[in-house]
Amino acid sequence: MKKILLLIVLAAVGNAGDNEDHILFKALADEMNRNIDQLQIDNQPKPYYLSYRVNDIEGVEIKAVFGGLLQKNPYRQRVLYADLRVGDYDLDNSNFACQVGSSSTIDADQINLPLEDDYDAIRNAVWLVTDGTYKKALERLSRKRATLQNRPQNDRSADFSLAEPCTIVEPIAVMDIDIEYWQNAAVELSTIFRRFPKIQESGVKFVAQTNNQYFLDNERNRNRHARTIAGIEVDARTQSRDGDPLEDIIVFYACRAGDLPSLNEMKQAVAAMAETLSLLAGTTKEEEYSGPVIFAGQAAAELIFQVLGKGVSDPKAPLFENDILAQAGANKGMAHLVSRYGRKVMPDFLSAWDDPGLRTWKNTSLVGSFSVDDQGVEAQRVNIVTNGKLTGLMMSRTPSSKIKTSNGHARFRNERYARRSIGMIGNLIVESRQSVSFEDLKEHGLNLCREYGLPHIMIVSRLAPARPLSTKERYMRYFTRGGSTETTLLSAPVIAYKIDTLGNISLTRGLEFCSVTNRLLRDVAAAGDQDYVYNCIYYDEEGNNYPVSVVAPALLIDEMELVPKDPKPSHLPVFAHPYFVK
Amino acid sequence: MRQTMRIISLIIIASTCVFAGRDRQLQTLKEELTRAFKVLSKTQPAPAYFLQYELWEKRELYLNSSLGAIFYDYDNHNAYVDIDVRVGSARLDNTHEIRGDEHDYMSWIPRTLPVPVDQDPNGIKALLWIETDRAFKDAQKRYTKILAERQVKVMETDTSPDFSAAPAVKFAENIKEINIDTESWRQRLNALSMHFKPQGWIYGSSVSLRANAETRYIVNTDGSMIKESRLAYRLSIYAATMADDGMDLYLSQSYIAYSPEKLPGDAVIAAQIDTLIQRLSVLRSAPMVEPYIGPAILLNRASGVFFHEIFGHRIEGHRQKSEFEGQTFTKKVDEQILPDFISVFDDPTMKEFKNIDLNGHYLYDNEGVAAQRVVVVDRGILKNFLLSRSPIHGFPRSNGHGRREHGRRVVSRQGVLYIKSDKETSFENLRQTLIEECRKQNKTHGLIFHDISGGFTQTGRGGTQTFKVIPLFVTKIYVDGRPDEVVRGVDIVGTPLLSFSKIVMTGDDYDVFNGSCGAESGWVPVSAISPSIFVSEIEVEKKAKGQDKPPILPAPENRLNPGRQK
Repeated sequence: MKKILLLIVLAAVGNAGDNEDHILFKALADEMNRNIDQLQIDNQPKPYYLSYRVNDIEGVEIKAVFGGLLQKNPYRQRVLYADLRVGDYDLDNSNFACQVGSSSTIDADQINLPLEDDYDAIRNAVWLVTDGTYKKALERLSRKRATLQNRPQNDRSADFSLAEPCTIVEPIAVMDIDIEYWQNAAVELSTIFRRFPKIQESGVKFVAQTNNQYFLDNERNRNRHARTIAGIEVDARTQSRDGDPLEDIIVFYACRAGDLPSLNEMKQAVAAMAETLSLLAGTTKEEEYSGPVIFAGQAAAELIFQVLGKGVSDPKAPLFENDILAQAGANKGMAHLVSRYGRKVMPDFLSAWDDPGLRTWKNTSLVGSFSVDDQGVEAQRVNIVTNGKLTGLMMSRTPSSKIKTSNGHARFRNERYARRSIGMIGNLIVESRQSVSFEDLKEHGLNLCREYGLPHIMIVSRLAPARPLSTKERYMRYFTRGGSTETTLLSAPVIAYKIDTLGNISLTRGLEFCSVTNRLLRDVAAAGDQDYVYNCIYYDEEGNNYPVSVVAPALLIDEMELVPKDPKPSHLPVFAHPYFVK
Repeated sequence: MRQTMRIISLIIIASTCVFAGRDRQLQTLKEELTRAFKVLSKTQPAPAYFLQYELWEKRELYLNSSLGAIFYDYDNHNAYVDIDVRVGSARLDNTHEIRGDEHDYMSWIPRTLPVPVDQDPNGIKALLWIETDRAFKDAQKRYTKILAERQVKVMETDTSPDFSAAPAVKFAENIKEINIDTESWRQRLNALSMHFKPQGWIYGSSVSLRANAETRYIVNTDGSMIKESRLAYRLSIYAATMADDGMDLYLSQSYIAYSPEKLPGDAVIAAQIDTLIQRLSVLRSAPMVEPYIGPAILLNRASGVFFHEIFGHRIEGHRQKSEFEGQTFTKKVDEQILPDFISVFDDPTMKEFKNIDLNGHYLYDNEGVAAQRVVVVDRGILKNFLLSRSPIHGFPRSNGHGRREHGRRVVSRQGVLYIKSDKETSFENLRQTLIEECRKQNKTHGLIFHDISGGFTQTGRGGTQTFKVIPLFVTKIYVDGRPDEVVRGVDIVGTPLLSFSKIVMTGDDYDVFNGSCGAESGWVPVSAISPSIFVSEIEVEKKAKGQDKPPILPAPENRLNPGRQK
C-alpha cells in the first residue's frame, strides 16, 4: 500500500500574500465593506459587528455491512455563515432563543456559496444573506429587549467581548483520499463479523473530510485555516440470553487517513470487540455494585470528557423568549461545573488543560486541533484545572459572569431556536503529578475493597459515547419540541469487568451509574501512569458534531454506586441469522 | 383498446419471467423471503400470512447552477429495502386503522433500511433477517392492540377486509442507467443560468438538472418477482423575487423526460428563462387582487394541478375507508359528482402524451400489482376509486395504485390523472365565454390562472372540507376591452363539491403537468393531463405574505448588471 496516497495532503498553494487575492476573500471583503458602510434601515441601528465564516468542505462517507458495500458517496459544499450584530457589545441580538419566521426568497444566517470561485455569484449570495441576517438581527434584538423586561436573565454579563485580531493564513488542505483503498478496508473490516454468530447487527463507517475555513470580520480579523479528519467507526449490536440489548462501538480517528492504525491493527481491535460482545451476551445481569471503580482507556477519557469537558463548556445559557423554549433548551448536558469556578473539582495531584493548537500528543494526532476557532479567534491553551482547582472555562466571545474574554474555543452550534457560538473543548489533557502503574492502581483498588469488606473491584474499559440520533429519535424529538435526551451526567458502562481479591476476572453487564454529581472527580483516589489518547466525534442532540480529543490516565474512584439499567428487553429473534444457518 | 393492452402485457410477462428467475438481486430476496416466511407463518400468537420485500436501487445525479456558477453537484448511490409483513388474516391484520389513537404517528415514521449497493447477498440477507424479525414483532404487537380495541369500539362503517389477493406477477426489465456527459451539462447549465445575471432584482435563480435512476425489486409471498427500472431527467428553471410590500414571488418551469435527448434545447430554455424574467418583472409591480368570487379560467396545466389536489386526493381508496376521513365521495358511487361532459381516469400505464413523457408512469405499483387504467368518473358519474390492496366497500381488488416513497407505508395514490372533456372549444372561445359570463354576472372582470404551484386539501373529518391552491401567475380579463392585467397575491379557496359543479366548459388544449406529490406515503412522481377549464364561479382570497422588505442595498454590480437597478 502506498502510504503517500492515503494522506490528506496539506499542500501549500502559495504564500500568505495569495490570501489577499483569493477570489472568495475578495468577494467577501468587497461585500462586507459595502454593507458596513451602507446597510441600514431608517430609524434602525446599523450593524456594529459583521463576520463571514466560510467552510469549504469536501468529504466522503463509505459504509459497509457484513461484507457488502452500503454506500460510497463523496460530497462537497461551501457554506457561508454570517454573524451580524446590532445593538452594542453589552446588549445585542445574540444569545437569544426565539422563533423568527423568515422570507422564503432571502436566506438569513447561512447560505450555500457556489463551489466554483466565481466572484459575482459569491458576492450576490453574500449580499442577500447579509440583508436577510440584518433584518432578523433587528427583529431578534427588539424581541430580546421586550423579553428582558419580563424575564430577568441570571447571567446578565455582556453579549460580546473584544478579541485580538487574528491573521493566521494556513495552506489550503486538499482532499486526497484513496477511495478504492478505504472502500476495500471498510468492506474487509465489516467481513470480520462473519466470524461471530452471536452478533446480530454490525456496521463499519469510514469518513474523511477536509474543511478549509475562511474568516473575515469588520474588526480586522482575516484568517484562513484548514481542518482535516479521517476515521473509522465500527459498531455491533446483539442481545443477552434474556433479551437485553447490548451494543458496542469502537472508533479510530486521526487528522489524516495515513495516521490511522494499520488495517491489521484495526482488524484485531474489531475482532476483539466482537469477541467481547459475544462473551457479554452469554453473561448474566449484575444486580448492583457499590465500591471502587477504575476507569481505564476509553472509559477514563470519556469520563473526563463527559464530566469535566462538557462541564466547563458553554458557560452561559442563552435567554429564552418563553417557558416552552426554555424547557426545550434546558439541560444540554453542559456547564455543570461552571458554578464551581475557583473551587476544588479534583484532587490536588490532578491538573487539566485544553489546547486546540496542539497537533499531536506523543506522536498521536489529535482531531480536536484547530488553530483558529469558529469566531475567527486564535485558539489558546487554557489551564482548566490547576492542582485540583477549577481555573478555566471554555470561552467563545460570549462573556460569562466568571470570565469575560474569549480564549479561542468557539464552536458553532445550530440549535432549534438559536444559533450560537459556544465555548467547547478541543484537545483536553489531564495530567497527574502522582501516577502509579496499572497493576498498582488495581492493587490500590483491591485494598480499598478489603477495607470496605467488598468481594471485588470494578474496572470499566468502555463507556457509551454520545451517538447521533436515529430517525425515530429525531421524529420523537420533533414531536416533543426538542427536549434534551441527555439526562445523566455519566453514560453507562459498555464493557466492565469485576476482579476479585484473588485476581479472578469476569465480565459484567446491565449496570449504570447512580447519583453521579459534579463532585465526582473530587473522589479520584489515584491515577495511572499511561495516557490514553481518545480521538472521537461528539454528536450532540441538536444534530451537530464536533471532533474532540481527550488524553487521560486511568483513574481510580474511591466509591461509586451502580444500579441495574432499565433493561428494555425484547424477544430474541424468532429465526436464525441467515449466514450462520448451515 | 383495453383488450389489446391486456394481450400486450401478457406477452411481456411471458417473455420476461425466465429472466426474473435468474436475476441475482431477486434471487437473494426470494431466498431470504422464503426462509423467513417458513418460520414466521408458524409463529404464534399471530402468524404472518404475507411478507414482501421491495428493494430500491437509487442513483441521483444533481447539478444546480446559479448566475453562471455551480452551487450543487452530487451523484449519490443508495439502496433501501421496505419490508411489509402482515400478521393475522386478510380479514383483519396489523395494518388495520387504530381508532383510539387518531395520530398513531409512530406508525407513519419512515422506516428506512439501507442495504448494500453492490448487491452483496450476505450483507443484504443479514440486514433483511434482523429487520424482518423486528417488523414481525412490531406487527404482532400492533395486531394485539387492534384486537383489544375491537372489544371496546363500535364497528367501523366500512367492514371490508384489510388486504386483498393479487395474482403472482413475474416481470423483469433491464436496469436503466443514467447516461449523460456531466461536464458538458455543467457548462450548459452555467451558460443558461447566466441569463439571470443582468437582473439584479431577481434574488434567487437557478437552472438545474436532476437525473434519477431507480430500480425496484419486489418479491412477495404471492409468488411475485418484479424488477422495474425507471430513469427520469428533470430540467428546472427557477426564479424568485420580492414585491415592495414584502410578498415573496417566484416562478418555475420544469421539463421531465425519460431520455436526455427529449429535454428541450438551449434556445427553448433560454426563451423560457426570458418569459420567466418578463413575467416576474410584471408581477413585482402588479396590483394586489381583492377577495373575489366570479368567473375564471384555469389554464390547462393549472387545471391539472387543480384536479390533482381537489379531486384526485379525494378518490384515493384509503380515504373512503378511514374513520378519520371526510369521505367526500364514498357514498356517491353511480351518482353525478362532476358535470356530465367530464370524465376522469387515472392510467399509470400511459408513458407519454403528445410526445411529452409522463412522470407518473409505472408498470407495477409498490404492492406488486400491475398498474391499471381506472375510469374514476364516466361522463360525470362516479364509477371507481384508486385502489391499493386495502379493499373498500364494493371494491374488493387493487387496481395497481398502491404507492409510496421508500421507507413509507403504502396507500393509494394517483399516477397519471387524465381529465377528458366532451364539451371542448378553442381557447379563444373559452376566453370569450368568460367575458360574456362576467357581463351576465355584472362583473367588471374575470380571472385567468396561468400557473399553479400546488396546494393543500383537507380531507380529514376533524377539519373543514376545504382546499387552497396557490396560483403563481394570474391575469385579470376586463369586460370593457381594456388590456389584460397581471395581478398577484391570491389563493384559490373553496369546497370541492361546490367547485366542481361550477365547471361550464373546457378548452381543447390538453397539456401535461408533471410533478411530485407528497402525502402520507411520501413523495411519488405524478402527472395530470387536462384541458383549460372555464368555471362560472371561483373564490379567491388574499395570500399570506412575508413582512420583510426587499433587499435594502441594490445587487452588487457586475459586468452584465452595471448596478443601476434596485
